[in-house]
Amino acid sequence: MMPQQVRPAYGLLLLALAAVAGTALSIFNYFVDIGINHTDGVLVVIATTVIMWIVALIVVRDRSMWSWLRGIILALLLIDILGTGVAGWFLESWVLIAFMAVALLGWAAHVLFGPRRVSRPPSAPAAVGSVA
Amino acid sequence: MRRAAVLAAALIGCLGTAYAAPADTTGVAAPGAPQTWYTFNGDLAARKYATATQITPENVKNLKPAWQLHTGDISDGGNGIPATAWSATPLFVNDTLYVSTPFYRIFAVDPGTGKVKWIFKPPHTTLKPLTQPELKTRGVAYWQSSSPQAGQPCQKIVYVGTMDAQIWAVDADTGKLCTGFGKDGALDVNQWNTVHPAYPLSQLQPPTVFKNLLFIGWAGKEWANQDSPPGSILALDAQTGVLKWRFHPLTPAMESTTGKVNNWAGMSIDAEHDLLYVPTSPPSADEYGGNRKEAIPYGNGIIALNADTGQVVWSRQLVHHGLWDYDIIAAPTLVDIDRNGQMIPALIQTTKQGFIFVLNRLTGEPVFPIEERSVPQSDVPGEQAAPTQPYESVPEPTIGKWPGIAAIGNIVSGGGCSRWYSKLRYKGLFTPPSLGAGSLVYPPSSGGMEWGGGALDPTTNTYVVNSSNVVMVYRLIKREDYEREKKASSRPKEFYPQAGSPYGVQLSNFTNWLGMPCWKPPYGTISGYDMNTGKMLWRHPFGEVQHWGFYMPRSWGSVTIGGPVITKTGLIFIGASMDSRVRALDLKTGNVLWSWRVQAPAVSLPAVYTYKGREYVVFTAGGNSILLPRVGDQLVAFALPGP
Repeated sequence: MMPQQVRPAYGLLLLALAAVAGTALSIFNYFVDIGINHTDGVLVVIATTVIMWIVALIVVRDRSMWSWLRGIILALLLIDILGTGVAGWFLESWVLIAFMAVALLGWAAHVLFGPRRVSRPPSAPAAVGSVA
Repeated sequence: MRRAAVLAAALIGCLGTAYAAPADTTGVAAPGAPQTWYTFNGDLAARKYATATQITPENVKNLKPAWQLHTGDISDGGNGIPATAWSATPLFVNDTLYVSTPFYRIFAVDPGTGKVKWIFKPPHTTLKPLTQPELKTRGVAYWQSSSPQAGQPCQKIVYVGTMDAQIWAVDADTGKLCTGFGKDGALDVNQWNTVHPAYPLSQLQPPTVFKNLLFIGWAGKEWANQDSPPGSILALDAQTGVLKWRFHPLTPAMESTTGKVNNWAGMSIDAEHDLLYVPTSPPSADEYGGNRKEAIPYGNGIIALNADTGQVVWSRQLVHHGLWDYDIIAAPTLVDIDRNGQMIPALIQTTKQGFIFVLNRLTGEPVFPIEERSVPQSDVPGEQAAPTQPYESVPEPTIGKWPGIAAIGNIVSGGGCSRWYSKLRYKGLFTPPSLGAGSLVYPPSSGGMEWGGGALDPTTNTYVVNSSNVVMVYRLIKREDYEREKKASSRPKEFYPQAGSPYGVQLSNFTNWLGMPCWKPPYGTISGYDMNTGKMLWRHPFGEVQHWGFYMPRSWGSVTIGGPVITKTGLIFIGASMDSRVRALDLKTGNVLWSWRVQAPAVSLPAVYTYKGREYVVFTAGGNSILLPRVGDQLVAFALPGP
């Protein structure tokens, strides 16, 4: 098998960034009196956004993940993004929805334009921190 | 129904020498006069109507908080203090805003800035849940002398009632105790709790003030005993607390087997005819009546009393042999109805079962027809339900037919809602409670319409009222099984003993394991009516349900506690919903024109006032655990941007 060249997974990094912002916002929402503070619903979106950025970073870091597992994880990430967006809608947390829209953009960018397995000469090094 | 002395009542003149109401008793301020809010319901006629004109449907979108304050009297149930349920209507009178807190303090506040003028704290009171699971107050009452003595204190008095049934009287200008009232400024209502004193009484509703008199009922732990304290209406001297007259709705013979028929949430007054209108609760026990099969004419109805003497002028029962805790509670709204050019002095009485009864307020006769219909009978040994119940169809009731099982709640419970429904007894409105799996009750004791009642624009006779659509299961439990079942239950708070009767009762919300309603929305509505014709003008789902922080679709509406007020410019202001928002609606259409989020559900009536040329709408945002576990201590006044 030919060695592979990998490009940085900018899409997933964008997703992770949006998820981190979603976590920070939801923690703010939990403690500050804006009508949804100290509710189970906000705890749920804190959990889903934390899972989102952790999983995204794992995928970014792990170069050796089986492709079928990567596919499943990407599908679950999509469900997480959409579910958190819907939760944001019912929490009337419009900024969270905006963050999830950015996360969705990152997910789509990764799937459509993200790193691909590319044939490279044996001497070419793989890009650090990314694997196709 | 009893009809007596109607003509005599009409001829009775004003007897008092001191006059309590600081404004026109019709509730309509003179042109150019400041808008006051001098009673719980805005005026004695319970119209909840303001003549202020600064805030209009066109500019209401610019409404912003002018000031707010947090009283600090708040509890979520921790630290050994019961949760607070703050339903106080602030009063604006004497150039001051007065409001009581669930810790039974009175705040006197500058109406333009929210700055505290003085705070009264009762020298002794209790913050224990003597009769209610929560600490509650619905506000203060105000009296002023029509012939004040210069330099003397307590020519203007503010009253607050407490959980332990004390009424405290303080000088409205200074906040100092009026020591001439009761004993050193406090009147102990429990001194009249001498028949079946199974539990202490509470004074959570401010007294109704008229002339030189305070009219009070009381609240109690009504679900606890079959032989509850019997209700009574007391007329007290406003300055001394001395008892002037007392009305007993139960005869001594009735009191030997039952209790209650009390008034715990307000009365209204026809000042012109000296009539006091008293809505009443059912006799005890709440959900079993085998001990009280005789006719109890004053229970679950409305009584018109001569305000000076306490004599009954007329009465009308609106639920026979109550088995559902359908208290008649909202103070009736007085209205002069134009029927084919003839003016009829009427009153509007809303009920928990969703009916809007309209009666001639001088005679008690129906203005729109009331029909006695056959209703389901009880299958419980010892019980004997009434064969018929009063129904009205004009105005259209706020509660319709059984809405059916909600698909979402049913799916999420794996068909649990449908299975539960199939086990329940339900034969329509007034299905009595039953043994076994129990009866489905729609609406239950939470309404329908609650103590907030409706509001009236007297210039157009447009009447607006909010209503909840709730479903519960009433299950009677044999006495010998009651304690065992309660101990075995994961929801022991649903059990009420009805001690002394053959049955305890379990009252459960008809919800699935996630707390989702098993019945179809909407869960709350607001409706507008033309009271001259009885025609419904509009009806919309109102508010949003909030569960776990999630706001449900607006088409579902929200269960509500509290009520609306109306302004002359065609606006409705109302909090009441679960979503902790206060709103302004267009009186013509019912459409929402403005909303603002507050600290907790505003389970109260707002008040409207003008001060130094500026119009304010003030809400208390206190919450109530019946809606959701969010409590508040926020008093917030809204106004248009100004200097």
